[in-house]
Amino acid sequence: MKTVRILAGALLLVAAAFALRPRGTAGIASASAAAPNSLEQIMQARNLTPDEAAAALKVFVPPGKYDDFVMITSGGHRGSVMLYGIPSMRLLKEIPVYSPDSWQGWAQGEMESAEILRKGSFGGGLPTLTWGDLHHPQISLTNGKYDGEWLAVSDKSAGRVGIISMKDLKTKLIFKTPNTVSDHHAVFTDDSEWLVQSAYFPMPYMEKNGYAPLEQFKDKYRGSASFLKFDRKNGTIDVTKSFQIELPPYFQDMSILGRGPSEGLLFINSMDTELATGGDLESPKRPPLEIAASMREMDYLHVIDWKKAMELVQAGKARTINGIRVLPLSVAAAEGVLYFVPESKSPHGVDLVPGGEYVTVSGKLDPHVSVYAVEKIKKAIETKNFEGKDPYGINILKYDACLEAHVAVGLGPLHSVFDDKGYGYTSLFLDSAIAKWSLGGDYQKKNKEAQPWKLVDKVSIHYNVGHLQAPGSNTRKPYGKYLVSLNKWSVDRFPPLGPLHPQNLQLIDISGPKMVLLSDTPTIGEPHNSMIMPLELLQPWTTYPETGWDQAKMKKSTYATEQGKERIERKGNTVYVYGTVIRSHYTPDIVRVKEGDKVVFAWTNVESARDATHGFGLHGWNVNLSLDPGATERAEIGPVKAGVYPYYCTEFCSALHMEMTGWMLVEPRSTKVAEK
Amino acid sequence: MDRTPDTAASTTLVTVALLCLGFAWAAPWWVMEARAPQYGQRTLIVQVNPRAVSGDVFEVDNLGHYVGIRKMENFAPLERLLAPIGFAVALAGVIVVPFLRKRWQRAAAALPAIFLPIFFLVDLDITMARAANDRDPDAALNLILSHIDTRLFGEYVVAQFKVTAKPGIGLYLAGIAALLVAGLVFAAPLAFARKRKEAITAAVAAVLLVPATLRAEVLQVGPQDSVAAAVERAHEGDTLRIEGVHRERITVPKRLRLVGVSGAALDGGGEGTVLRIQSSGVEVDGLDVRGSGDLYSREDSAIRIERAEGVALRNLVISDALFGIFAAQADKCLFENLTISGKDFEPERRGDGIRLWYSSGCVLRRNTMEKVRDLVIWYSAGTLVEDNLVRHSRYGLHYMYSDHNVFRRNRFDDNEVGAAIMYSRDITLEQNAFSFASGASADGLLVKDADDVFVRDNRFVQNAIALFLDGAPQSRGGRLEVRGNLIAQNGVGVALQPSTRGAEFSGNAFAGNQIQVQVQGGGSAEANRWEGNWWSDASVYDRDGDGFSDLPYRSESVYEVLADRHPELRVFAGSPAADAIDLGARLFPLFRSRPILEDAHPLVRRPLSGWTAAGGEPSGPGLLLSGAALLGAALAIARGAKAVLS
Repeated sequence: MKTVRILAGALLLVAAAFALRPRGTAGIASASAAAPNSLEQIMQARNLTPDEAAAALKVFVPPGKYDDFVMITSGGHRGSVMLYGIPSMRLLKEIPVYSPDSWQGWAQGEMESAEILRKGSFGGGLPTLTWGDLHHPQISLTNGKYDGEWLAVSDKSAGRVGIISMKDLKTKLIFKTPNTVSDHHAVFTDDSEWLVQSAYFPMPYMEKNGYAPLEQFKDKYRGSASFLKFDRKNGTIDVTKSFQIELPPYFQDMSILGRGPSEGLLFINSMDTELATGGDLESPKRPPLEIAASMREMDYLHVIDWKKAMELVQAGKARTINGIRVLPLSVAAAEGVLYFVPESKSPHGVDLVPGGEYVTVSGKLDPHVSVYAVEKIKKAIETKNFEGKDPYGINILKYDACLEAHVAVGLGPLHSVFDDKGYGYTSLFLDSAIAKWSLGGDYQKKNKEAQPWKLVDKVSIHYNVGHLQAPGSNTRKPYGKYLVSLNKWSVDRFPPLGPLHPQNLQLIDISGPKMVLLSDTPTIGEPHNSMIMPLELLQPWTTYPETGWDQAKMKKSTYATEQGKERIERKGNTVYVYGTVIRSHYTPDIVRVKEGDKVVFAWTNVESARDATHGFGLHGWNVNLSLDPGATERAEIGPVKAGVYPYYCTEFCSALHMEMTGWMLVEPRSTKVAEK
Repeated sequence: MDRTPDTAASTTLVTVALLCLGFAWAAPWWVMEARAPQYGQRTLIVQVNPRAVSGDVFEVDNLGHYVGIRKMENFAPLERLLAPIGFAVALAGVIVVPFLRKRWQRAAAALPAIFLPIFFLVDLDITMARAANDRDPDAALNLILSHIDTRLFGEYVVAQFKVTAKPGIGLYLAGIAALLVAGLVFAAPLAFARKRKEAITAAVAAVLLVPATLRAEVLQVGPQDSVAAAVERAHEGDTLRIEGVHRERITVPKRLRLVGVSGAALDGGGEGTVLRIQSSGVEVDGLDVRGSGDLYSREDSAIRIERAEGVALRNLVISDALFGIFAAQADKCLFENLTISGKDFEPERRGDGIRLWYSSGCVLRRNTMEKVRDLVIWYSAGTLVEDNLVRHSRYGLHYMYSDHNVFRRNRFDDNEVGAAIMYSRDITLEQNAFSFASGASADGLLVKDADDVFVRDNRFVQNAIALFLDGAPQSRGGRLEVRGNLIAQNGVGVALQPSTRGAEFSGNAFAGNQIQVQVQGGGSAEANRWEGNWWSDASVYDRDGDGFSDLPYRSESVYEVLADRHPELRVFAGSPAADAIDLGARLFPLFRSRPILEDAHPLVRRPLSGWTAAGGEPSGPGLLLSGAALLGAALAIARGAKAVLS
């Protein structure tokens, strides 16, 4: 009825325009007579349709005002995290994690961050890693809802998890999980006591030297699920309290932790239950990996009773491998820790509805979202309703006994998110679209007008969507309102920018019955997934609470220097510079050392004014510190070569910023040169 | 003239002649190489030997099929049958020649060996000439060739093929044997001891017995017999004639022919996979195969072919199966005249009618698939799919990562998606019909991220979206040609993602689609070539009478911009309301229109190719329904206007 009314209104407008039309001239003349700067005139000047003008109003945030939500997005193999405001889609911040960043002084000569990177590497003769592939950021939870205190970010390239404090939006820890080389996805439990990650690449981690030939893939390679004990007070992970569950070598990928009726269960997607390992160059009879891994109709959704696993580990049923307790597969199978449910092959997403009653899986080659009811899964386990065993003796639950519904959404479904009104949204890679569909069960109380488990709307996106995200999805409290489609390709959405194209974040309004595309935003890096929370949950410090703050240890630094106590000390061949910075001066601004010395700078920004950050850029050396107000940071160089090395403030700080400089003089050891 | 026999020389001559003939049995006697542009670097090779034709028979037969040349396996059956006997007689003759007293006797014994290569060449020449010219008059491309001059040896051209024919190693060996035996006729005979005589008699008998052991047996499998037991008992090459209904699940690990006598059936009883084929060259003909299990986790199928080449399935009725045929690493298979229907489940719970996985060079012909999930072709190059019908299923064709395939004269009716072609190149779709696609995606034909796709003379009728292009063509020099198709009465004729560039649309008839061309998410379709199509909504004027209108067809109606954003408006397409909005657009600047495409020379008359190729005008009920929809729209608008006025 509303549509008809709008249409009728449009007709009346047309009729009016027709009647008022000056004879012999085009209709445009009548519009140009409107008041200057009227909305109509702006729309005409910019050739905007009414919908586009409406979208512009929906995304605009006036100067000085803030967005409603903040989207925390991964930077992919840029190794960083980005924060965008929603609905403006303005880039608010980038947080470096796995890769050095010279603007923020992250591991760019700064000693604490370099140490975080070093400790977060493999060790054992392998180099300190200076890159990572940051896939999925997770916001810490309290009672199953975002609390905005910590971020955990997975590294697909090295099996690591990074911990970022939202107090200062800086990385505090990079934890290398033993026995795994990949972490596509790490999730928090409802009160952030555990951080759970799955293995992706199976590895022969039980073997000596961590080596077994691929011919022994089936017997010697294993996947895993890791349960890392997270200390949410300090943002640390205690490996001695952590444990793993040995899993078959099935490329365990995305995972989701249960809540409500599914509390205590972990669901993990898998692929390559064919156990293909590639090698088509070695043997032409072997199909390439991606082909071999998509022969079977089904892979297995892993259903893990992880609380039971924890009890078994505590009862001593685990064995320690490479410093972490591992619950053997045989125990997991025998004790009813692990079950499989057939799922459409090689799925991307496994997601949980807000109340925890249903788990959704999308096999990208199946145009449906499969909805499993948790109660049905539990019942199938209870009644031993199995349809077989896998080669490792894991019971396979009967597919039809666990399935609640198939939702026909369109081609190439990947991931699903949920709103507050009883709807799910699924990214469709092949259709290049987002599908909106109705949830059944108790969610029918919210989406009353819809049939259960049915597609209700679809919107085109540009192009090749991967993840999508909506505020608070996959938590107990979704907020709805907006949806962001994280598109892998932008092709022609932005002006030509050379062969490497940015990705495209498309903001979609989901507040009404129809989805409306609002805006396109190019990205830096390769965002994979994101999390969106209300802006008010972001409550960081604006300056450090105490002058002389150690950002890594989150307490006052032992190297903090007060004003008036600046000094240069020599111990053997090492020179320690304890200095302060303030607008617009370095104390000391002259540092004299000798050729071959090691020099350690410890600078304290003694300012407490908001935004009064100084830099310390040292000519000729890989050193640039970002000395945020109140921070103490150290940089070590040497042995130094004779010469004159000026330093200066890299962060424009004041009217006398240009003068904020200093000298490091390295006197040659051979005095003859100096005397000349 | 009495000469002393040279035992050593004679024995050597006989041995060499025998060896030559022996090797010749296995070697090719005549080799034909054919090169054609569509096969690129690849040369098709066919090798002929008195007992068989081998090499790229499959491909050449496929190509020959288009010009009406019949299959090679149908030629010279008698010769092939007699070849083992002829060989045996020739070998026996060679062995006895030196011992025969009289020269005429020796000449008579040598004759078969001498005659063998000569007969082969003469017979080949005659058969070839007949094969090339006694063509099926109904073949698709029979018109383009008249008489074909075949040659035994040398180079010549047939259509776009360059053919080189030359003698094979077998022919040389047989020739050498013939010369040696001819020499023996003139050599002095050998005396032989009694023992030797026995040995020679045994050898001759053995040689004569060889063809008997080579002959395949036919085993009868009665209604009460076990097929599995017969399979167990049978030897490679045997035929099983099956009668009656057998509630069995069978695995065939050797090269057998399973032939059903009318009404013969294999019934899996609703458990597991009914027939597993694990050997190359297995043939199954005239059977009902039914009653597979329903577990996805084991891919329960009526027939599963795994790591076996050249399996031929003909004239089968497959029913009550989760998967009809599950073919994995099954190259060069033939699926012909199969009727496949799935289990009585919702489409999303069914299995695929046929799934080809990593199986190249297969032919799917004259099959009917109903109530299955999809027809799947993944990672399978060089597939020929023709004259099939897929209906009431999910994806009529679910197709990716498979190059050089041809789809011809297939019908995809009432599926959720007619056909989805993705991540492939060199795909030809000709004379297919895509109708009534309705579902969550509801494309008649989706082409995504593909190159060199030729969509010609197909019929797209009453789909939600007839043709959806996304990222195709995608590569430098890649083509997507849409020519001579009938695109009628669809919700959207052609839907494009704005990234679609360089596609060519010509000679198509866009007839009464609610939206002729739609660009999804803003932008225009102008980066593609639109030339000489017929548009049911075009105003045409043809002063020079060349069949092309002098007025360009422009699609820039603001209505389409609006309808893209408000799909519910589509119901008003072509109605006075849509026209009013378009008029408003020209008058009222808020609705300024944007160009979508321009066809500079639209056709004046509707081309007929798409209609005739795939049969018949769209039905009267369809037209009636459209009329009713228009009427309804007009009434709705009238009511709406009244509501606002009152």
